[in-house]
Amino acid sequence: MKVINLVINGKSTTSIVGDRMTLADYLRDEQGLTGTRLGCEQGVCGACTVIVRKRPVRACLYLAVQADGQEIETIEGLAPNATELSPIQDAFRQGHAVQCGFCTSGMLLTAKALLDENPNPDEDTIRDWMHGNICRCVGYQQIIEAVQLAAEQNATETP
Amino acid sequence: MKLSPFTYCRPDSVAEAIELLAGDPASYPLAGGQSLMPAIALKERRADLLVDISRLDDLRGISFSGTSVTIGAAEPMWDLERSELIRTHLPLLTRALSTVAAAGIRSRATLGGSAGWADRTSQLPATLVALDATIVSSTRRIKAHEFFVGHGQTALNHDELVLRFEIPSASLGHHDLQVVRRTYITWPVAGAAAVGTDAGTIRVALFGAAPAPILIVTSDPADAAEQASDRAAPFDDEHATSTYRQRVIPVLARRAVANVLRVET
Repeated sequence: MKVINLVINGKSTTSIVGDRMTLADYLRDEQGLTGTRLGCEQGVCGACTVIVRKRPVRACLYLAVQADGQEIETIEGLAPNATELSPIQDAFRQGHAVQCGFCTSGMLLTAKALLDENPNPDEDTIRDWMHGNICRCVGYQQIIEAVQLAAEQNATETP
Repeated sequence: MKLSPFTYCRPDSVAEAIELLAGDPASYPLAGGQSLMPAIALKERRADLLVDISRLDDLRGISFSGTSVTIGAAEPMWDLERSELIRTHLPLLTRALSTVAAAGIRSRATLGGSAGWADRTSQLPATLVALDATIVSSTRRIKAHEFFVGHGQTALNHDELVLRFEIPSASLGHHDLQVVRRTYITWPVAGAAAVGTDAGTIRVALFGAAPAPILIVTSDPADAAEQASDRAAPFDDEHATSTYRQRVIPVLARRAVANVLRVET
């Protein structure tokens, strides 16, 4: 057991965790943040993606104890409040980029990390970033279009 | 699957890390964990002790000496991909990194981890061989083509850590990368990394062609294909058959060399 200090969605927290607990299990089971999905638990599907230091990471391959001292952004931290959506969430809604919703948390966070680094990515760049997240409903086209829509909205907002 | 029990520790120095590794035969150095953690989850590897080396200063940093680029073993691929220094002096490495898995893997995966894992189908060991990298460990210096000895096997001893890579600048020579893959997130099927040298020859290293990268030094595409065909020791895995690899490997070797030559002439 180890003591870890994390900042999760802007809130500081101190916990005692087992050595083998992954960040994904920690967020879901210890913090109740079940928006982080667990799919394959071997780094392939991307459903457990969270953002650490502006980078999308696989929470299933990241030990909670390794994340000690880091700021973590999860899907629960994306919307500004309980009634409004963030721009990327709104683009997914407008573009019908959600089917069963299981991959959506990871898709949104990967897309957010991309748009934060590159507000106006071209389609190739979007595909290059998003191909690490699997959608078993195969709704890829709408997902790519939703990220493009969010990028276009960025472009009109920042002339 | 959930991870089997192990102990995690985060030493403050390379010496302490080596002492911990030496004390337990079922210990592993842990940096990004992008290959090790899945293997533990899938019960392909059993770990009693994970020694986190990702925060050791001796394994971090990217610098240029005037003739070679030094890259810390635990520097995430994310940072290497975005390094202007690497883009300028080792454009082949920047290109190879951009083909590894996905952004969400490269955010934590490290070059040291990829070298230490030494997967037979990985593009990075072959790229290091093509670039004539020197691997600096906690005890010695090893040329990349001597470092990789088999699938998942390197010249490293259990209590030896890769600290950094020293790679001669290859900014003037042209390069090429051929990758055959079924999906992006898993390992490639096969490929070739090629770079032109000051001597006018081309160093081409093949991956997915044998248990370890095959290095061919030539200036003739047909010769590259012939050597590739002769030296290939292809294998079956879930992505391709050995028959397919035997046929595609000479083609990739020839193309890589031809592409380097084409831009040079």
